[in-house]
Amino acid sequence: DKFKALLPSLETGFMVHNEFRDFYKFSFQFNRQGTHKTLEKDLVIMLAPMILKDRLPEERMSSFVEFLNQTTDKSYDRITLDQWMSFYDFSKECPNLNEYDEESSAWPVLIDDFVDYATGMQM
Amino acid sequence: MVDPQKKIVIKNFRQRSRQVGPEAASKIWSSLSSAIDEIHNRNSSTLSFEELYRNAYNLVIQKHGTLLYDGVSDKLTSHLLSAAEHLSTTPESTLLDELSHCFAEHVTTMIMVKDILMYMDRTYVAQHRRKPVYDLGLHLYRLTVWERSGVQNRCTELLLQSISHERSGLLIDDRSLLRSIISMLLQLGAADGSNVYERDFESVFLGTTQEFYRTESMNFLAENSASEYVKKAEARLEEEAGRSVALGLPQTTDGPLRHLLEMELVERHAATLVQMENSGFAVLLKHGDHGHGQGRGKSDGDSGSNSSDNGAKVAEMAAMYNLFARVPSSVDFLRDALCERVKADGKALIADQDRGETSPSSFIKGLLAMRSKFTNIAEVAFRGEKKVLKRLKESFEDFLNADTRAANCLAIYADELLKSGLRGASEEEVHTRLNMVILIFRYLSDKDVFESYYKQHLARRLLAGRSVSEEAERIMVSQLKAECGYQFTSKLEGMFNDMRISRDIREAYKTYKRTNPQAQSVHNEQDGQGVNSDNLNSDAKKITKPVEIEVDVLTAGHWPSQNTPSCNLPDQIQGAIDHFTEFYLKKHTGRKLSWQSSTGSVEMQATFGDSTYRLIVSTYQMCILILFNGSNVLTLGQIKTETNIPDMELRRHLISLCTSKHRILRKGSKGKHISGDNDTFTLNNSYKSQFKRVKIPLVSMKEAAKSNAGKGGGPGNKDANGSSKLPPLVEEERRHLVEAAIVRIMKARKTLQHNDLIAEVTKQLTVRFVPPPQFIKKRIEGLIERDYLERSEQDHRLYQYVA
Repeated sequence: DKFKALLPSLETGFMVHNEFRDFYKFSFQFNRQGTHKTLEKDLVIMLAPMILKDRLPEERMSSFVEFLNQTTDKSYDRITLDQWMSFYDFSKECPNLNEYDEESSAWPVLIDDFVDYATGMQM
Repeated sequence: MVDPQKKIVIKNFRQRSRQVGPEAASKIWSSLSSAIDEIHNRNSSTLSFEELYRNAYNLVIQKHGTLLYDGVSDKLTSHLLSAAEHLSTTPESTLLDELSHCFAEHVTTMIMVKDILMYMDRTYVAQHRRKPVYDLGLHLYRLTVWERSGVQNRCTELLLQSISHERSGLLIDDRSLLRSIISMLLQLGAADGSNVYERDFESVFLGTTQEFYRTESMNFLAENSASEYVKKAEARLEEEAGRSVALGLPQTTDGPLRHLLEMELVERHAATLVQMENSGFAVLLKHGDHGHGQGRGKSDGDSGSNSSDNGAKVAEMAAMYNLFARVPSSVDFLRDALCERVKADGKALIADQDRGETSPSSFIKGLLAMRSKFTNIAEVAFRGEKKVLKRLKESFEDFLNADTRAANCLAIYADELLKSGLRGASEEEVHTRLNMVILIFRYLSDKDVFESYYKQHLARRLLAGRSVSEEAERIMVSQLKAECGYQFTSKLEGMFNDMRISRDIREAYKTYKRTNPQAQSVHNEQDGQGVNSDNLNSDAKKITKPVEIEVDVLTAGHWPSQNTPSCNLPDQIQGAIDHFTEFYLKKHTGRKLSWQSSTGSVEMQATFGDSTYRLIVSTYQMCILILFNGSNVLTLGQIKTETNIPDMELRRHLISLCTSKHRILRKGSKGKHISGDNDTFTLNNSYKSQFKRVKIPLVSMKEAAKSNAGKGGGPGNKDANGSSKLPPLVEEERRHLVEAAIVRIMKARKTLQHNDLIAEVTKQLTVRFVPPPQFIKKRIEGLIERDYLERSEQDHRLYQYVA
């Protein structure tokens, strides 16, 4: 919440890609609570769109949020740093979901499942 | 004496002979010319070779070579013209014969002429680059005789007709005649470099042959079965080969001929032959059993001896293979058909098992039969070709590993063999039949699942003493060791050791008891029930003899884990247990014993009214029944509290005591299942049995599970159905193994690409099971989370080891 209050006052638009990436990483680590190394899914759902606003296409962000909301997979109740960063890197690298190759992908399984969901929705 | 003044002088050689002028030359020529006529007419005996040779020689020397050459050429031509004239009017019936004869004569003539004109050949011909005489003769023959309109086309016709007749089964007159004509063509072609043989015979021959066989094969196939076609095709191929030799066809024809034959006879119809109804290869595969199964011992029976019909089918397949082998690409059809059939049969087998129509053992037996059948086909029909054996193996692996049921079924099959199936079998037979287990085992990709189930079954067998023979058990383990290595079987061997050591301990305990007898315990009676005819305890006295116990001490790591806490045991039992524990801990300090009340059996004496029986029950059942010493009726809830037996097991053991066959207790609720905690159980005083000693069997978990809404799964689950779920312990073990492998590999390599890591892990673990890539990926992520690895910042596909 502290962060939420802080964020609007931060102008991240000026940051170049690498700087922003570091900031993005920092924002995850900052919001960790207690001894947990992961963030609660709900927190991520709230946080990510705020931080990534204007950095990613609107639909990518919203479909990801949708996906997280509807998934019943317990292992996604908490999001790891790897998953957090990978979502960003992946979205930058792979703007077109249809070109995604799941068989040989090295992205976390979360991304694979997300792509399944998103391409399933498109049909 | 030589006169010194006179010297011997050598003078130049002076041309003694006169110059031969043109008229002289013509005169010489005309004599030669007439000589040639004579030769032609077969009157050469009157001529003098020496004279003719000399004449020719002189002409050439005198620079009249051209005259000679051209003269010979004209002379030959004129002879040939008349021959050609004659031939063109000869009727068909004798044409070939005459032609052959004519050529033979011509050759003879030419040989003689060549001999006479040898000097010319060597000098004039070489100098002026003209054709040597003999070749000239053949060349002129070709131009004049063969290419005469009435000759060439008719001859070719006749040749082809003759061949065609022969193919149709009609007798022809004379193959050697055909042979000589063909030989003639070959010689003509060789002489002047023309391709007269190819042009005038070979190409047409190949063309008509192709036509012929195309039609014949199509028609034949429409009317006949595949195997008959195969026979016919083989026959035709033989025939053509024979004809080729007989007719003296050159090797250059053989190649294309064979090629087109194979194409028309085999390649064109390969697919049809495989798919044909009733007789195609695919159908043969369906029925091509080599008829084994006459008694358990003869597992690899002689092919064909039991069922000649089926053996014949294999032979037919072999014949088809032999035919197809000529065109290697067509064998693919056969291999594909084989694999399809294997997969289809396999799926059918699995479907049967699914529907519950076959027991796990029958499933395995069916598998073994399948394997036997198809291996036989591969060995006999496919001549043991490596490619087909490999594909066979792959096909089996394919359908078997769709899920883990095969591993489970195989374990059940092995269990049955080792419990009873191998009773009375000779050592050799034991080896053979256990080896069959290994054969199927090799196909499995989930070998660890098999190991898990096998261990459970083995534990049960060992503890209940149900092995058919210890020898057989050891043989099985040693075969598994040979197949998979020591690690796989170390726990199993540990289990055997434990049993052995337990025996020793029991002996030691007996000795110990003699010197340190167990204290007589006072039987703690509940609420003064005292002596009662309903009393289960045989001894009405307060003081009871110590209970005899036999203990198996198991090393926890070796045996499948049983994490159930002990239930509440009656005091006498507890006393005996404590006594043994005391003994054992004296022997082995620092160890901890945890008693598994979920196992074990008890022999107890029970009195029902007037009759007394000895009941053989499980430990839990004993705990339950002892309670009825205190009260006649108990509810489920009460029993649960008193005994502390876990719910699922409690229900199962209770139900086993209320079955119609052994109604020791009477259940309050109607039906087979327990209604709830309030369901009552009453001691059945009118229980009767024909035997004095009664063994109370346990109902299966499945039955008991129906009475409870809870899940029936678990590592100790006696699922006799060969289900396809992965036991949770195996699942967990796999996770550990994969993670350990990942860390090990990354530690060694420091950095590695995603694909390479997946490949390495898979390679290392394949001996036990095949990990799916997604599974490995999930483990990688877990390790990233725990900081064993990290993703490279630059390349998300690269992982780095974190020291």
